[in-house]
Amino acid sequence: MKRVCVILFACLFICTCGWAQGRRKIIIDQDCSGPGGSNLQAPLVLIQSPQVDVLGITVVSGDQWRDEEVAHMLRLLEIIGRTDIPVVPGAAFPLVRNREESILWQKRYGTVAYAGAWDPRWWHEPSVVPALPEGMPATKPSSEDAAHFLVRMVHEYPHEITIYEGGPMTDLALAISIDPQFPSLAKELVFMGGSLNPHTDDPEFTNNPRHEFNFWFDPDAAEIVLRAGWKKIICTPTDISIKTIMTPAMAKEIEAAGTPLARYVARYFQPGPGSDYMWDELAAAAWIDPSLITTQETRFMGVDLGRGAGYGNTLTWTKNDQPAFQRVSVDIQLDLNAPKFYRMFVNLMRAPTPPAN
Amino acid sequence: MNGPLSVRFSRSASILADRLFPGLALILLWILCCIPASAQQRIKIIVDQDARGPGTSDQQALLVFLQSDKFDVLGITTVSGDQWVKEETQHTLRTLEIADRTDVPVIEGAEYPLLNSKEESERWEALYGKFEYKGCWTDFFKAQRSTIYDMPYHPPDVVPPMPEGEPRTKAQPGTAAAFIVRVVHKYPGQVVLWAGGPLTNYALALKLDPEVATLAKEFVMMGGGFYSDTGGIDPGAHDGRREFNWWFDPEAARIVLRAPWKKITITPIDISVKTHLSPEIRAAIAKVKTPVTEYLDKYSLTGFMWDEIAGAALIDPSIITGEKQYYMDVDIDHGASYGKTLFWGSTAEVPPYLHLANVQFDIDAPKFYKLYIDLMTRPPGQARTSHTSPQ
Repeated sequence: MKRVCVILFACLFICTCGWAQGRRKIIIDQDCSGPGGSNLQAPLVLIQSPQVDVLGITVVSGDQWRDEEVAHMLRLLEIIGRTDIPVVPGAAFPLVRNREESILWQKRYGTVAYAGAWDPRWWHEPSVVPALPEGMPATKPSSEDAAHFLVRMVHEYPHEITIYEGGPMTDLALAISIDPQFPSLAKELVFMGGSLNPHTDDPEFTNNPRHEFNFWFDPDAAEIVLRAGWKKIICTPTDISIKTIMTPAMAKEIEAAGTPLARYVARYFQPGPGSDYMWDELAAAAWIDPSLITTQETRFMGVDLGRGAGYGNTLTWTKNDQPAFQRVSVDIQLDLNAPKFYRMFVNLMRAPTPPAN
Repeated sequence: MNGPLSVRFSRSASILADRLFPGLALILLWILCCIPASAQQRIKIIVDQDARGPGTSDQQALLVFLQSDKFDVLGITTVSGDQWVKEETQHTLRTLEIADRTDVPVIEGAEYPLLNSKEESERWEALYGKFEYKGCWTDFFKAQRSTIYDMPYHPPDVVPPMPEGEPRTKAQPGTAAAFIVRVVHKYPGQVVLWAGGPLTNYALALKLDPEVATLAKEFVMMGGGFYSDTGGIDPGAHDGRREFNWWFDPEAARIVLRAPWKKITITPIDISVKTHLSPEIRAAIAKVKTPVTEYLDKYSLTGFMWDEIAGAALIDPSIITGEKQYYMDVDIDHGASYGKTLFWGSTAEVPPYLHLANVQFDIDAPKFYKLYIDLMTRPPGQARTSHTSPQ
């Protein structure tokens, strides 16, 4: 009997160790405009971390159109030798908001500083994939769609997968509508989006501090996601993202590592102002190491769906003044240990890429 | 079914030909050869339905498709609306058994609308007044008549005991939205997409793959309302623009109405309320004894024939005697008019994201009833397609 107990304990010990060594599973949903920049550096943060198992990257229109973004993402995975990670095309268009209507909306309520794929400064048709500076990918995206991929994966690994969102929430909203169990089967949601009260003189936010691009591009999807029954939601809003700047010195230090990844990051680094915020990298890095965040607040969050001037603006409430709708509370990051974050980011970009499973 | 029928026709044709001069005989033969060929060109269709059951317009519309040999029903997709989707799927499967059409796959669709919810509708009611009818959200259907639908609210996972019996068959795995995307790609330009309920599944399919709109042959739906002072869901139902299907999921209706379909046809409540499933029609069907007529005798209710029209008009377009073109949309502001029908005349100058729809307004009701009775009294299973189409 004693011997049986010992064997049982030994088994239990081995199992626990194996479990503890298991890497944290995550699916990245991202509007992968590129080359380089926050949208591709955030996936790199997660892929480069030896503690993280990236199960797939779903790609959604936002900063650029989906098809071009898919090409950037595939090419990056080729460059870093991680073509084992599936790239799954998501929604090409937001749920309800469309470009024509948003142009009329801007004529009435004022022009937004940045309109992503709809922006006239770099406009091209949705299905066009221009020649990529970093080269065209030879690999192909997955044939599954993002929403069904997300649903399938949370059923395969119930309560184990973190959903990371770095772009508009269209794919997540579709996954929720296709399978209402999706959010409760995920471990948690981590997203960059929303804006509360950013302290900045950046004209994108001074006159409308509650405006943020990811929510604005698909407000209805963001509201669907924020109403859903997640176990936990962590938000990286503009308030904290604008406190992060990628400097030429950081790019130089990364480049010195000499790996294809490091050279890629340095080559396509764009100095500011405006293009050097580390929006999404922070959301990814703080998930890996929560100690980067020094101030955090818990509130309830929603999106203004009135079709007037506030369409897409961030709404927040405290526990005492929240509306009667039941919502999951959101942990909102407000301040960080910036030097620690920069050090972690540079180290990850300089590190060798962990091999495929 | 076309086989024996065409043989009989051909035989009489050749007898006729013997008595006439050969040229006419050749022409006659040519015409008669064409008829069975064209009859075999069945309309490929996906039937999406908030399939409340047993009986009612929802299941009766399904039977229109299942009993007619004009259709190749590629699949029935279910969606929450009049009932919760899990319950509807079971009623649909049972109907397929009764109609001897288990060759048709059933794929379960969306459980909830995109944004609208029971809770939101209740807060709306507190602000603007109670609805008379809210489908699966209705907490005790206080209709004038006493029916099997006078039941308290139940949550989405509950499937109450089924009066018509439990089905033995099962729904096909997968989601309705993925099924729709797959099928329009399999038969590009050939598939009619039909909707008898809220438009959640089609909205999801369009967002998963915007090509659904251009790959489909056409879109046909029951929904929306214009001038009717009955048939809406507001108290007294005086506002025809508050129509259940569009109101239940307004954002989905907008996504569908703004998609670039090759053709879109709408059966609004304005035409639905010009029909009445009368005791006489029920009696005419009950005279013939089949499992289908027995089912209808037990569970069919007198009332408007909402969805049956949208199906029957595909079989015989001549039952529609008045049709107009309108630019169609739906109000999705979350205020007093949330979910109401919006429309503009065909000569209006409108933004590019609005599209013209063919809207049915007038019906040859006696002709429609005749067609309906004929379909319902046919022997079940006659319209079975020889091929089992695994999608």
